[in-house]
Amino acid sequence: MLVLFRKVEQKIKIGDDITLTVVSLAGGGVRIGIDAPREMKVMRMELLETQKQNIESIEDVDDGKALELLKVAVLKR
Amino acid sequence: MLKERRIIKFPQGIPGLDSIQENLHTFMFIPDEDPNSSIASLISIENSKIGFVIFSPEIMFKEYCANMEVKREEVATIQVEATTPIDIWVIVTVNHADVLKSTANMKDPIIINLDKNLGLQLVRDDVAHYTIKHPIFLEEPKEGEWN
Repeated sequence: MLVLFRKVEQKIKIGDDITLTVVSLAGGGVRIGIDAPREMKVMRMELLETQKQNIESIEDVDDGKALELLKVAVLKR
Repeated sequence: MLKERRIIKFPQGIPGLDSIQENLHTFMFIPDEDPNSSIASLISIENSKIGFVIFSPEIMFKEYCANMEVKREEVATIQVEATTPIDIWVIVTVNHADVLKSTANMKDPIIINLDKNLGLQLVRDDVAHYTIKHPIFLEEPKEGEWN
Protein backbone atom coordinates (compact mmCIF):
# COMPACT_ATOMS: atom_id res chain seq x y z
CA MET A 1 0.00 0.00 0.00
CA LEU A 2 1.23 3.44 -0.88
CA VAL A 3 1.22 5.73 2.15
CA LEU A 4 1.46 9.49 1.71
CA PHE A 5 1.78 12.21 4.31
CA ARG A 6 -0.61 15.11 3.81
CA LYS A 7 -1.60 18.18 5.81
CA VAL A 8 -5.02 19.79 6.06
CA GLU A 9 -6.11 21.25 2.70
CA GLN A 10 -3.50 19.26 0.80
CA LYS A 11 -4.70 16.98 -1.94
CA ILE A 12 -4.01 13.64 -3.57
CA LYS A 13 -4.79 12.91 -7.18
CA ILE A 14 -5.72 9.38 -8.29
CA GLY A 15 -5.75 8.90 -12.04
CA ASP A 16 -7.16 11.76 -14.12
CA ASP A 17 -10.56 12.15 -12.49
CA ILE A 18 -10.25 11.66 -8.75
CA THR A 19 -8.99 14.15 -6.20
CA LEU A 20 -8.95 13.61 -2.46
CA THR A 21 -8.65 16.58 -0.11
CA VAL A 22 -7.87 16.41 3.59
CA VAL A 23 -10.52 18.82 4.89
CA SER A 24 -9.96 18.75 8.63
CA LEU A 25 -8.77 16.69 11.57
CA ALA A 26 -10.83 16.26 14.72
CA GLY A 27 -11.35 13.76 17.50
CA GLY A 28 -8.90 11.22 16.14
CA GLY A 29 -10.66 11.26 12.79
CA VAL A 30 -10.11 12.94 9.47
CA ARG A 31 -12.62 14.54 7.10
CA ILE A 32 -11.85 13.80 3.50
CA GLY A 33 -13.31 15.55 0.49
CA ILE A 34 -13.69 13.48 -2.67
CA ASP A 35 -14.02 14.82 -6.17
CA ALA A 36 -14.87 12.02 -8.56
CA PRO A 37 -17.08 11.46 -11.61
CA ARG A 38 -20.73 11.12 -10.63
CA GLU A 39 -21.02 7.57 -11.95
CA MET A 40 -18.20 6.41 -9.72
CA LYS A 41 -19.38 4.69 -6.57
CA VAL A 42 -17.86 6.19 -3.45
CA MET A 43 -18.81 4.85 -0.04
CA ARG A 44 -17.50 4.15 3.40
CA MET A 45 -16.08 0.63 3.53
CA GLU A 46 -18.35 -0.23 6.47
CA LEU A 47 -21.40 0.39 4.31
CA LEU A 48 -20.10 -2.00 1.66
CA GLU A 49 -19.63 -4.67 4.33
CA THR A 50 -23.11 -4.06 5.72
CA GLN A 51 -24.59 -4.33 2.22
CA LYS A 52 -22.81 -7.64 1.61
CA GLN A 53 -23.88 -9.04 4.96
CA ASN A 54 -27.50 -8.03 4.38
CA ILE A 55 -27.57 -9.69 0.96
CA GLU A 56 -26.12 -12.84 2.47
CA SER A 57 -28.84 -12.72 5.13
CA ILE A 58 -31.84 -12.49 2.79
CA GLU A 59 -34.29 -15.30 3.46
CA ASP A 60 -37.53 -16.32 1.88
CA VAL A 61 -39.10 -15.92 5.30
CA ASP A 62 -42.50 -16.81 3.84
CA ASP A 63 -41.62 -20.49 3.66
CA GLY A 64 -40.76 -20.46 7.37
CA LYS A 65 -37.74 -22.75 7.00
CA ALA A 66 -35.18 -20.37 8.44
CA LEU A 67 -37.32 -19.58 11.46
CA GLU A 68 -37.94 -23.27 12.14
CA LEU A 69 -34.22 -24.00 11.94
CA LEU A 70 -33.44 -21.26 14.41
CA LYS A 71 -36.10 -22.43 16.82
CA VAL A 72 -34.64 -25.92 16.83
CA ALA A 73 -31.26 -24.38 17.62
CA VAL A 74 -32.72 -22.36 20.48
CA LEU A 75 -34.22 -25.53 21.94
CA LYS A 76 -30.88 -27.32 21.70
CA ARG A 77 -29.11 -24.65 23.70
CA MET B 1 -39.92 -5.74 22.33
CA LEU B 2 -42.48 -5.52 19.55
CA LYS B 3 -44.96 -8.39 19.82
CA GLU B 4 -47.51 -7.66 17.14
CA ARG B 5 -47.59 -7.42 13.36
CA ARG B 6 -46.78 -3.99 12.10
CA ILE B 7 -45.87 -2.31 8.87
CA ILE B 8 -42.56 -0.55 9.28
CA LYS B 9 -41.33 1.97 6.79
CA PHE B 10 -37.58 2.28 6.18
CA PRO B 11 -37.23 5.73 4.59
CA GLN B 12 -33.65 4.96 3.53
CA GLY B 13 -34.26 1.34 2.63
CA ILE B 14 -32.02 -1.44 3.92
CA PRO B 15 -28.39 -1.32 2.72
CA GLY B 16 -27.66 -3.70 -0.15
CA LEU B 17 -31.23 -4.41 -1.22
CA ASP B 18 -31.02 -1.77 -3.96
CA SER B 19 -28.74 -4.11 -5.89
CA ILE B 20 -31.58 -6.68 -5.99
CA GLN B 21 -34.60 -4.44 -6.35
CA GLU B 22 -34.88 -0.69 -6.03
CA ASN B 23 -37.21 1.14 -3.68
CA LEU B 24 -37.88 -1.54 -1.10
CA HIS B 25 -38.96 0.69 1.75
CA THR B 26 -41.87 -1.03 3.43
CA PHE B 27 -41.58 -4.17 5.51
CA MET B 28 -44.00 -6.24 7.54
CA PHE B 29 -42.76 -7.05 11.01
CA ILE B 30 -44.04 -10.49 12.01
CA PRO B 31 -43.37 -11.73 15.54
CA ASP B 32 -42.81 -15.39 16.23
CA GLU B 33 -45.91 -17.35 17.29
CA ASP B 34 -44.16 -18.16 20.55
CA PRO B 35 -44.53 -15.06 22.75
CA ASN B 36 -41.28 -15.87 24.60
CA SER B 37 -39.25 -16.01 21.42
CA SER B 38 -36.62 -13.41 20.60
CA ILE B 39 -36.90 -13.96 16.87
CA ALA B 40 -39.15 -12.33 14.31
CA SER B 41 -39.36 -11.83 10.57
CA LEU B 42 -39.18 -8.76 8.43
CA ILE B 43 -40.69 -9.21 4.97
CA SER B 44 -40.71 -6.71 2.14
CA ILE B 45 -44.24 -5.63 1.23
CA GLU B 46 -43.10 -4.88 -2.32
CA ASN B 47 -41.43 -8.28 -2.82
CA SER B 48 -42.41 -11.05 -0.42
CA LYS B 49 -39.40 -13.16 -1.49
CA ILE B 50 -37.14 -10.69 0.26
CA GLY B 51 -37.12 -11.01 3.98
CA PHE B 52 -34.92 -11.30 7.00
CA VAL B 53 -34.93 -13.24 10.19
CA ILE B 54 -34.30 -10.73 12.92
CA PHE B 55 -33.35 -11.21 16.53
CA SER B 56 -33.97 -9.10 19.61
CA PRO B 57 -30.81 -8.79 21.70
CA GLU B 58 -32.91 -7.54 24.61
CA ILE B 59 -32.81 -10.77 26.64
CA MET B 60 -29.68 -12.62 25.54
CA PHE B 61 -27.49 -9.53 25.15
CA LYS B 62 -28.80 -7.19 27.85
CA GLU B 63 -25.58 -5.21 28.08
CA TYR B 64 -25.53 -4.62 24.37
CA CYS B 65 -28.85 -2.81 24.56
CA ALA B 66 -28.06 -1.04 27.82
CA ASN B 67 -24.75 0.29 26.52
CA MET B 68 -25.95 1.29 23.10
CA GLU B 69 -25.39 4.94 22.40
CA VAL B 70 -27.25 6.41 19.50
CA LYS B 71 -26.54 9.94 18.38
CA ARG B 72 -29.48 12.16 17.61
CA GLU B 73 -28.28 12.84 14.08
CA GLU B 74 -27.97 9.10 13.39
CA VAL B 75 -31.71 8.61 13.89
CA ALA B 76 -32.98 11.96 12.63
CA THR B 77 -34.48 10.35 9.51
CA ILE B 78 -36.77 8.18 11.64
CA GLN B 79 -37.75 11.08 13.90
CA VAL B 80 -36.44 9.63 17.15
CA GLU B 81 -36.36 12.11 20.02
CA ALA B 82 -35.08 11.55 23.54
CA THR B 83 -38.42 10.20 24.78
CA THR B 84 -39.41 8.18 21.69
CA PRO B 85 -39.92 4.48 22.46
CA ILE B 86 -37.61 2.42 20.27
CA ASP B 87 -36.89 -1.23 19.60
CA ILE B 88 -33.47 -2.68 18.78
CA TRP B 89 -33.24 -5.66 16.44
CA VAL B 90 -30.37 -7.28 14.58
CA ILE B 91 -30.39 -9.18 11.29
CA VAL B 92 -29.59 -12.87 11.55
CA THR B 93 -27.50 -14.67 8.95
CA VAL B 94 -28.97 -18.15 9.18
CA ASN B 95 -26.46 -20.89 8.52
CA HIS B 96 -28.67 -23.51 6.90
CA ALA B 97 -26.00 -26.21 6.94
CA ASP B 98 -25.21 -25.79 10.63
CA VAL B 99 -27.75 -23.63 12.36
CA LEU B 100 -25.71 -23.33 15.55
CA LYS B 101 -23.17 -21.41 13.50
CA SER B 102 -25.75 -18.77 12.64
CA THR B 103 -24.63 -15.23 13.34
CA ALA B 104 -26.22 -11.84 13.79
CA ASN B 105 -25.05 -8.45 12.60
CA MET B 106 -24.62 -6.77 15.95
CA LYS B 107 -22.44 -4.06 14.50
CA ASP B 108 -25.31 -2.60 12.51
CA PRO B 109 -28.51 -2.72 14.59
CA ILE B 110 -31.97 -1.92 13.27
CA ILE B 111 -33.68 0.81 15.26
CA ILE B 112 -37.47 1.05 15.09
CA ASN B 113 -39.37 4.14 16.14
CA LEU B 114 -42.40 2.47 17.76
CA ASP B 115 -44.47 5.67 17.76
CA LYS B 116 -44.17 6.29 14.04
CA ASN B 117 -43.38 2.76 12.78
CA LEU B 118 -40.21 3.96 11.08
CA GLY B 119 -37.07 1.85 10.83
CA LEU B 120 -33.42 2.35 10.07
CA GLN B 121 -30.33 0.16 10.01
CA LEU B 122 -27.42 1.99 11.59
CA VAL B 123 -24.13 1.45 9.80
CA ARG B 124 -21.44 1.71 12.41
CA ASP B 125 -17.70 1.54 12.17
CA ASP B 126 -17.28 -0.02 15.56
CA VAL B 127 -19.51 -1.27 18.39
CA ALA B 128 -17.07 -2.41 21.08
CA HIS B 129 -16.51 -6.11 20.43
CA TYR B 130 -19.83 -6.73 18.68
CA THR B 131 -19.21 -7.80 15.12
CA ILE B 132 -21.02 -8.06 11.82
CA LYS B 133 -20.97 -11.88 12.20
CA HIS B 134 -21.56 -12.23 15.90
CA PRO B 135 -22.21 -15.81 17.06
CA ILE B 136 -25.61 -15.99 18.74
CA PHE B 137 -25.52 -19.61 19.84
CA LEU B 138 -22.84 -20.90 22.11
CA GLU B 139 -21.12 -23.92 20.72
CA GLU B 140 -22.57 -27.20 21.81
CA PRO B 141 -20.44 -29.06 24.32
CA LYS B 142 -18.72 -32.02 22.75
CA GLU B 143 -19.82 -35.42 23.93
CA GLY B 144 -18.05 -36.57 27.06
CA GLU B 145 -16.79 -33.09 27.83
CA TRP B 146 -17.32 -31.70 31.30
CA ASN B 147 -19.13 -28.43 31.38
